[in-house]
Amino acid sequence: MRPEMTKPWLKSSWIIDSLEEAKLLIALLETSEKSYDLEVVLSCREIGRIAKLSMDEAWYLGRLFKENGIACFLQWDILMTENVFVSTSVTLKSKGLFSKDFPFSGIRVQDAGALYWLKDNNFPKNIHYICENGNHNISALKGWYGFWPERISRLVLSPELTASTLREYRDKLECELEVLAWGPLLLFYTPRGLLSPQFGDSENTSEDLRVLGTSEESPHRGFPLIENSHGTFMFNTKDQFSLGDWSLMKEVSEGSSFHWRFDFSDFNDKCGLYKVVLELFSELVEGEHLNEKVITELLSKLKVLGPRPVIKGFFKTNKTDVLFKKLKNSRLQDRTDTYIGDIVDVKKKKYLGLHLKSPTLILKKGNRVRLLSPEGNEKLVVVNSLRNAVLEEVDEVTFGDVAFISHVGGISVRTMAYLDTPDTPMA
Amino acid sequence: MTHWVPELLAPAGSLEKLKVAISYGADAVYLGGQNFGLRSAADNFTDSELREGVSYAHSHDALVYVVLNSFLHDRDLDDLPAFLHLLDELKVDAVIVSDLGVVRTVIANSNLVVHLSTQASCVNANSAALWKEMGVQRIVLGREVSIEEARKIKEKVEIEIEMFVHGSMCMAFSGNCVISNYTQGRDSNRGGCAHSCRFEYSLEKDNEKKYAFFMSSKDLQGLRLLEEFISAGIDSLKVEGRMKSNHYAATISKVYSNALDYYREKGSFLSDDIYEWEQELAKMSHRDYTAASLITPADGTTIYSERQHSTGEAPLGGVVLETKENLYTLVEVRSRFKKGSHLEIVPFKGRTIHLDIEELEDVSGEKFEQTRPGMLLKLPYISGVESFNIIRVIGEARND
Repeated sequence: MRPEMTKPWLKSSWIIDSLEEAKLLIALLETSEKSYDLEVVLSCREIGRIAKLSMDEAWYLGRLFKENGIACFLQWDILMTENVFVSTSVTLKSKGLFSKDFPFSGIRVQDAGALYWLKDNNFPKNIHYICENGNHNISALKGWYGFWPERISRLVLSPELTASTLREYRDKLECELEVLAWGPLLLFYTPRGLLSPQFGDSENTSEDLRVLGTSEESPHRGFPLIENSHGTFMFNTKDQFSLGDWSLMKEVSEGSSFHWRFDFSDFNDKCGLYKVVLELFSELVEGEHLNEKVITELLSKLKVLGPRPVIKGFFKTNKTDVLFKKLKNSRLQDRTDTYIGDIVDVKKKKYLGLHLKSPTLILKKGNRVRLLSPEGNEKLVVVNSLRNAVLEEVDEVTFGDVAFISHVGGISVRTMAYLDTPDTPMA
Repeated sequence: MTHWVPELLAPAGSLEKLKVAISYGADAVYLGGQNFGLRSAADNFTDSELREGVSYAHSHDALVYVVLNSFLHDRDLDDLPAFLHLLDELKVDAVIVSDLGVVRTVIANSNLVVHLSTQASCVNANSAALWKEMGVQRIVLGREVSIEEARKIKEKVEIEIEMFVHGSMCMAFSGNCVISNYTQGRDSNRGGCAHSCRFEYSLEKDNEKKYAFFMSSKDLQGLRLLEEFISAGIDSLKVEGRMKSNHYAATISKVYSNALDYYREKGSFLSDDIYEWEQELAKMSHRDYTAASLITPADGTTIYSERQHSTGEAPLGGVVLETKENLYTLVEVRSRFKKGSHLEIVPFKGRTIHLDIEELEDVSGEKFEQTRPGMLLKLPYISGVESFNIIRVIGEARND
């Protein structure tokens, strides 16, 4: 008989990937004097992106966890083209997905087609919908939950969301939420086999091909790469680690059913790891009696047990859109209101060729034109001479025409031209 | 009797490219406004350019689809309704969306038709059925789907299906790559993709180390599969490439529209013209071509293991800006070529016009030996040549 839970803010989901890990965890929980609000997530090679268990092993472990009173969810997270979907769904049906003997507490899916299919077949248990890929707004999340609120009990959120956004979503969504707290960050997923052509293992699909990659463009070294029967996966060089900001995690969790996922599938020494993690968990849920010194020591211990260095990722802040303005020359961007066209030819001491690109503005003799070059030179000129391509004087030019005005020094091709109002003082 | 063919949907990275694509035969174009799309580095359309573009397209019986295919964060959604009202007012033919929040915002704030972007990685019938239930009227399938699978999806779900027929490809399931986010601090799904897949990597396995462009995909080319697309009832054939040149917009629009026109008339592709069409496609800058997953799942042969693209057999010499009957043809020069070069002018319809350049002259009448990019070249008037025709250089031209 387990002791009653007292401080349930830290609800954790553990990825379990082998029989040994499962037995170890069950044994540790059985012998622990503390209680933990903990569930496990299993997958298998047929339906999991990176899973080691066979389907039979996963089902066996599902039953084992059930017998031990531990909630266990089956993860079906591959993306499936039509033919793969059909064969996978046949396999799952034959394995009793919809039968009362299905040993899991529920299922977790990522392909929207899987979600639709479960609803179409009236799946009788809870569904965790993994919307980790994008879905960075409340409207999307409400839409997913609203698709089948009777069964979708949880949304698995993107690791790119900040703690403050998670708090906001916690308050606005009626279902459970989950986010990665510690584990590898998937950067790239393709169904194509990219490593076997390099290493000549294309015939051997029974074992994952594991490689470390380093890009010439990035200072980061050693991106873990895995190829298996579902394709190729690339992970970040550093793992997500939100535990260092456990007080933020606690804030996010307050008054809600917020779950934190721990993916230890890549770790060595699971025994040592699990013990320290459980020790830390019990410290973190001690309410008023938190011992920050002990917590700090445990966190330091944990960090060295991981297979890779760790980062906070976007847990505290996400500024991945602030660099966009620098992708383009800002001097070549303003094509609003008074923008009339571009300089397309410069003949020193003779003319500037101006291609009229504004569909609404007309350039007339006597107009004032502001010229802004890609290098930042700005000139204000009065159009005293306006000529066409045979250099005849004309009174006005319109959209699509090429006009020739007097040459102005410091102005180059790609300079943008704007009609200027008479109020602007001449330089 | 004419035979049914799909819509040809071309990219329009700018107002000029929109006109080029439509003039060369595209049935529809897709483009982005200043926000909400995935090409932050492209020119994209201002509101007034959008107005002009839609007006131009509709007056030429072409459709305009506007991309809103970023994965938007909450704050990004704030300005979306106002933009939707503008698109509604302009009678844009559809918006292309990948985020469910955006789908819901579009439906709540406009009467716009919603197409699901390939970014949503919809690759099976059940997924298509879900999106249909969400209000989507067309699915742009992920590029992992074969034509045969697309046929099944269309039959099962009874929804419009669009597939890519040509262009660069994401190696990842589209929308499933966030390398830029973590390595460059740029959100790839909000327009900041750093194209990390195109770089060389060192790969270490045990004690073995290799250098390879292992995650760069060859370019898609489905010209010889058009009959399969038609037979599967695919509604729209999409060409990737809003960031690409006028040369590209012109060539793909002309080649594929010529091919589809041929089928419309003859009901087959049994034509020697296919060799000519393929040669035309080879003249553009491109990576090696592949059919990717259109027939069978893409394998190791679809990886492009080079740093550089092929620059094409014929660089873009320039674009015609203006013509005056019996007087002149004004060309905006895009690459260096010499007096004596052989040029090809590609008219909107009909055969390529060949031209030997005997003299190079600028607007002032001054003669010169070699062009430079960023100048205007005045050629004699050439019948059949119009504004926005592209000019290719055959021979010893040097592309910049």
